[in-house]
Amino acid sequence: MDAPAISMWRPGPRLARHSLPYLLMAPALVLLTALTLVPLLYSIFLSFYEAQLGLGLGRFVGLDNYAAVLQEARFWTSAWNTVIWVAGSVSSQIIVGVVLAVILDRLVIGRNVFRAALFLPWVMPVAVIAYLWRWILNPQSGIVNVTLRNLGFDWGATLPWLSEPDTAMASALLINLWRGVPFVLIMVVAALQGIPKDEYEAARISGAGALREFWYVTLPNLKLIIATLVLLRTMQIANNFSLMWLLTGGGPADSTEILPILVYLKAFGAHQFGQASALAVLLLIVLMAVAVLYARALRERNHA
Amino acid sequence: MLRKPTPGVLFAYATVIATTFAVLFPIVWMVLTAIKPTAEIYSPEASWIPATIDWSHLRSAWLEKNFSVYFLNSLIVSTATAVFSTAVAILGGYALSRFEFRGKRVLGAFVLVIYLVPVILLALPFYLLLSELNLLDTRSGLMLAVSTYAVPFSVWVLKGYFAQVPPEIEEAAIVDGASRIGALWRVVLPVALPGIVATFLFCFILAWDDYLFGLIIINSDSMRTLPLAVGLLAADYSVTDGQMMAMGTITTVPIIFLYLFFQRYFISGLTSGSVKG
Repeated sequence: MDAPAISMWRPGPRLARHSLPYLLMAPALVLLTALTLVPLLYSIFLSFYEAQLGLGLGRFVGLDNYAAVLQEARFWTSAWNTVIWVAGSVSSQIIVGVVLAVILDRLVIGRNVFRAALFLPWVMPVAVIAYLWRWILNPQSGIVNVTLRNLGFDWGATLPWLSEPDTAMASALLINLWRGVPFVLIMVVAALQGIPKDEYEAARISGAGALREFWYVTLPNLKLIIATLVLLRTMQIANNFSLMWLLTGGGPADSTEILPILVYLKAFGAHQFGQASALAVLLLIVLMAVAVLYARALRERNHA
Repeated sequence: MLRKPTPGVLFAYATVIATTFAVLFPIVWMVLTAIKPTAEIYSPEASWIPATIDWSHLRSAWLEKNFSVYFLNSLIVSTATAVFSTAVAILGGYALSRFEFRGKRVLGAFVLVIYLVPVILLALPFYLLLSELNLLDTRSGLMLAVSTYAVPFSVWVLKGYFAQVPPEIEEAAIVDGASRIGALWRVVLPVALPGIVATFLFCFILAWDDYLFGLIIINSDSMRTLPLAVGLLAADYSVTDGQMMAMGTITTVPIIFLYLFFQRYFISGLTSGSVKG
């Protein structure tokens, strides 16, 4: 679309001319085929076999692995945790990210400095994030509880935020908010720059205040980027294993066990590779379905 | 552009400054804990600013806990991943931005859809595949694994950057007798340099951050990267909180400096796709 004509400029053998784009794509395609597509297909294949430790591939069991997984109470707990984890993370990150971006956009001087500083959590390695927060929330010596104690709150004095079933998920959501907002923020700040200035002028002339301006000018213009970010963050968070694993390991008592953790425990803990694969394939199917339905709903709303 | 500060603008500054403080506090707290004497770390009055600086946590993490080795491993794996992924993405992104060819849409979609596959789903076959290739427990194996995750997004970012380079300057070089690849190397790449720096950095940060692939692929201590060491030593009761935060500091500070140095390129690179929609 950009410059189809110039491939004709170069005199040379027809074959070389036509094969060049394929040759250029080849390394990426070989890599992704060998290390993503083939493993993906192998996983699906594996989900139909017994595949336990010491059995090799074992017997072909059809859909038995899927049935076994779906009958476990632990699966449903895990699925529910995943829904809360994903919905809670995505909604909180999008809302806080958008509001913060709009506020940041009002700065006259220093906008780029603050944007750069606010992005920092995103470049921190996830392992460090997990242990840093575990230290901050440490029941005895963590700064949160020490401060609560010094302020005279009894209940906060020794509360183990991440290893208490009632607070573990909420704490993890807050930590994920800290980690995820920067990404939403810089994407929305970039999109804000694309909003035509005359729309704001028009709103101001008709006497709209800051809130009405946000509601009637800013938000409609951000619809596309917000819709994209919701989908992107949903996929990223639903698939993310490391943060929760390092924060809580799925505990206490399954209260933060999300599906990627259950897959990992089944595969590398219990060595039930067949069931682990079935579980992962189920997760993939649900995510794909969500993505397709979401994209379709968006398209219909935009046409209506 | 400069207007008299309205209450709205003042409110915006207050909110942004307060938020920045809250966002940066955990990172600063980690570094402060790492350089505090142990007595201050456990002080019931919460010592906010260390009275004396104590380098012993950092020193013992670096020397006794082998962090010099893990640091080198992380540096090698991240650099190799960034070089390899960027090179692959330059070729792929260039093809997608400059040529019309059969299957272009399918290939382009393939590159993106693969990004949505749960990494955990690939973990087990990956383990088996790399053991077939004798790449288990090697830095090359880890580099290949992280690249599969880095390449799709990089292709997309670079495709966007190349599309912004006017084809005319390339045509001119080709008329002057440069080959297609020669024109890409000498004319297009210098113009798209900010995008390439951003991509390189993105891949580097991704590799530096990796925990899951390393967990599955790396086994021996001499191959371990920083995040793996942090995860492993956290379960070791002989490691103190001060040492733990020192390890976190060693793992984080290089990447923060790298980011701050190149942040202009990095942020514009990350957002270039979204601005174009």
